[in-house]
Amino acid sequence: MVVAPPVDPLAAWIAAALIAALFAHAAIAKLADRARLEHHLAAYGVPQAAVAALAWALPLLEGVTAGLVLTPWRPVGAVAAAALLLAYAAVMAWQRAHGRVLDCGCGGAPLAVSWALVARNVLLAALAGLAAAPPAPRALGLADFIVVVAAVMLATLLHAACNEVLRHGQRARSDPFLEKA
Amino acid sequence: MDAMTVSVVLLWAAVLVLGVLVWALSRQIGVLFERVAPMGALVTDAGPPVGAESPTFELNGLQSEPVFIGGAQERPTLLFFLAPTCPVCKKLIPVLKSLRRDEGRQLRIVLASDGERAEHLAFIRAQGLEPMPYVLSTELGLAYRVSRLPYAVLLDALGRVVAKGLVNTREQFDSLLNAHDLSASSIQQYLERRAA
Repeated sequence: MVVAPPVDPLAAWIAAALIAALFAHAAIAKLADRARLEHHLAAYGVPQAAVAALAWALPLLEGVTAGLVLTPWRPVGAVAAAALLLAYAAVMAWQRAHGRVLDCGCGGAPLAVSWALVARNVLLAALAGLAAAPPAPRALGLADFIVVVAAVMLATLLHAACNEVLRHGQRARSDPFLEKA
Repeated sequence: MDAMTVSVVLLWAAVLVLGVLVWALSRQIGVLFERVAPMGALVTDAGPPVGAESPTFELNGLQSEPVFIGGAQERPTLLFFLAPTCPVCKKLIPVLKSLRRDEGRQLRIVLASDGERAEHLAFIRAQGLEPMPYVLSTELGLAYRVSRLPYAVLLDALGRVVAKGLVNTREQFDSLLNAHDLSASSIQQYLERRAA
C-alpha cells in the first residue's frame, strides 16, 4: 500500500469529502444524460463497440469510488479516484496535443478540453493522494465536521466559478470581435 | 468560546459568502458576453462554405407560392434573411426592390424569415413585398447558420453557394453580388482586399 506520513484526520476527511462530492456529481451528471455521454465517448475516439459498455461502466465506477472514499476502505477509493483523474487527464492531454478541441464532457454546461483542465485533474489527483494517506490518531469532534461541510461548500463554489471563468476565456478567444477588442 | 474560535467562524462565513459572490459574478460575466455580442459587420464562418452545394428545401411561401431552394434552378438565387423587427432590414428593402427591377431577369430574390405568420403578412403589405417570394422557415435559417440579420446568401443556377454574409448597406449588397466575379468569398474578404 502507499507509504505516506500520517496526516491530520481533518485534512484527510476534507480531501475525501471533496473527492466524494466531485465523483458523485460526475456520476450523476453522466447517468442523467447517457445519450450525451455516449456522444462524448465517441468524440474522444472510443470504438463504437465499447461505447455502450463504457457509458455504463464509467458512471458506475465513479459512483462506487465516491462511496468508497467515505467508508473505511478510503485508501482504495482514493487510489481509484486518482487513477481515474489521471486517466482522464492523459486522454485530454492526448486530444489537446493533437490539436483537437472537443467538449470535455465534465458535466454541466459545455467546456472545451484545455491544458488548464489537464492541470486541474492532476491537482485533483494529488488531492485524492492526500485522502489515501493514513490519518494520525485523533478523535474528530463537531467542529471538525462543520469545517468539512464548509470546505465542501467552498470548494464546490470555487470549482463552479473556475469552470465559468474558463468558459468565458474560451468564448472570448473564439469570438473574433472580442479578440480584437 | 475564545476570540480565535469566533474569528475563525467569522472568517469561514466571510469566505463562503465571497465564494458565492465570485461564482455569481463569473456567471454574470457570461450574461454580459451575450449582451455585448457584436451587432453587425461580422461574417460568421459557419454553415455551408462558399463553393459547396446548398442544402435543398421545398418550401411554401407566405402567399402560398412554392419556393425551391438549392439544386439546379433557371436563375441564380439571392436568399435574403430579414425580420420585421430589424431596422437595417427595412432600410435595405428599397435596395431589394431596385435590384429586382434591374436584375429580376437574371436573379431570383427570395425573402426568408421565421416567426408568426400574421406579423409577416402585415409586414409584406406595409412594405409592398408582394412580388417577391417570402418564406417562413426556421430550418432554412439554421441550415445557413444565420445568427445576425440582415443576412444574404447568393446561390448560382446550379445551387452552389457563391457568396454569403451580413449585409448592412447597399455597398455591401453590391459587393456580395460582385463577389462571384471578384472571386472573393465574403464582404469582409472583398473589403479587406480593397483596403489593402
